[in-house]
Amino acid sequence: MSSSHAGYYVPHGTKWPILGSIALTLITAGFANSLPTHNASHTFGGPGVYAMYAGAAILLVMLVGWFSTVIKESQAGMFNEQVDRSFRWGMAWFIFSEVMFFAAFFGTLFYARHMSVPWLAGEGSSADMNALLWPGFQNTWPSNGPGAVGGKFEIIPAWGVPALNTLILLTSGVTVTFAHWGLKKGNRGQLILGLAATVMLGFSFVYFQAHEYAEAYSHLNLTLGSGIYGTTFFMLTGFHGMHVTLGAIILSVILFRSIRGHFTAEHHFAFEAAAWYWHFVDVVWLGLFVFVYWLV
Amino acid sequence: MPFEFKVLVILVLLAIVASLGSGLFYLIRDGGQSERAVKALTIRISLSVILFALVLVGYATGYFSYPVAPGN
Repeated sequence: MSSSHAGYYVPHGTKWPILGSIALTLITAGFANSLPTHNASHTFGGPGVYAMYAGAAILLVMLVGWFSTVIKESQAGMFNEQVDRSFRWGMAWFIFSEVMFFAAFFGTLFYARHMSVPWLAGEGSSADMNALLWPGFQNTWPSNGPGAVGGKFEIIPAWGVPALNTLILLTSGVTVTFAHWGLKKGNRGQLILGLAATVMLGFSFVYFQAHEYAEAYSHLNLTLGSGIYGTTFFMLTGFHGMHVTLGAIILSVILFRSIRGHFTAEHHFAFEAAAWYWHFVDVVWLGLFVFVYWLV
Repeated sequence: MPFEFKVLVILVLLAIVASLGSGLFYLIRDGGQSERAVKALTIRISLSVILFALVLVGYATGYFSYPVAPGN
């Protein structure tokens, strides 16, 4: 059995990686060809969109297939300590890329608010720039920038659905920690109850956030086109919402695996990775709540 | 928003990020064999609840408020 071997587990031939490459190529090429400058009608769309969706469907097939294979191999006892370490380090590098990803968007927000907008308004040594380029532009935030791109808009008040969503995510952090302790103590009921509550809270967050987006677009005129405020708002909250959705799906899989008895108090890396990811998503939201909604 | 309050909020946020980071460190290093990761994450969620309470208290006491009108 490979589990007694000290070296790497060498997998059999597999079709998942090439399928993933095909999927990603279709998605990116399809998206690029749908952009307005590449498109005769000068709006987002065209035949490239079909390639994009086809790629997304193939990616979904690949993810389900590859993860199923890995789970089956793990349950069959084919992985040794070396493989366990590889998974942990793979996760660590993925996390690092995610942290950098959100750091870039938060960086953009701070740069826009504390540098670009003030400079365009003539702060610091940029008085001439303001006089020549955008006379009359004020250094305020929120702002849709000089030229009032996208027109007048209203913002989403922090003390409303955003505060409710913060409460939802914090509660889900408590429930996932409750589940984590249950797993560590060998209490299966606590593990499953905690995970189920976390998943339900996670999807509730997504529902409320989607509702807020609809409200923003239909009643507040707050869109991706609402100048620098609109773009930073939707890029930050949008990618965060996507990560919450992915995290909730991952936790659902972990929930099903927990129900099937896949984890023990000693061996449960997948659970810990998913739980950590969920904590990360919550921390990013706290950053959003404080810096995007409250404007600390 | 009062400067001292801003500093306090940011300090708590940094502590939250630090506890999250330590959780990741223990997750990678301990391989599920100790309770250090789950303890770090328990600290993380506790600090987060404190942060939310801070924001609530600040808002309820009128110490600070969110903007209600756009700047345009």
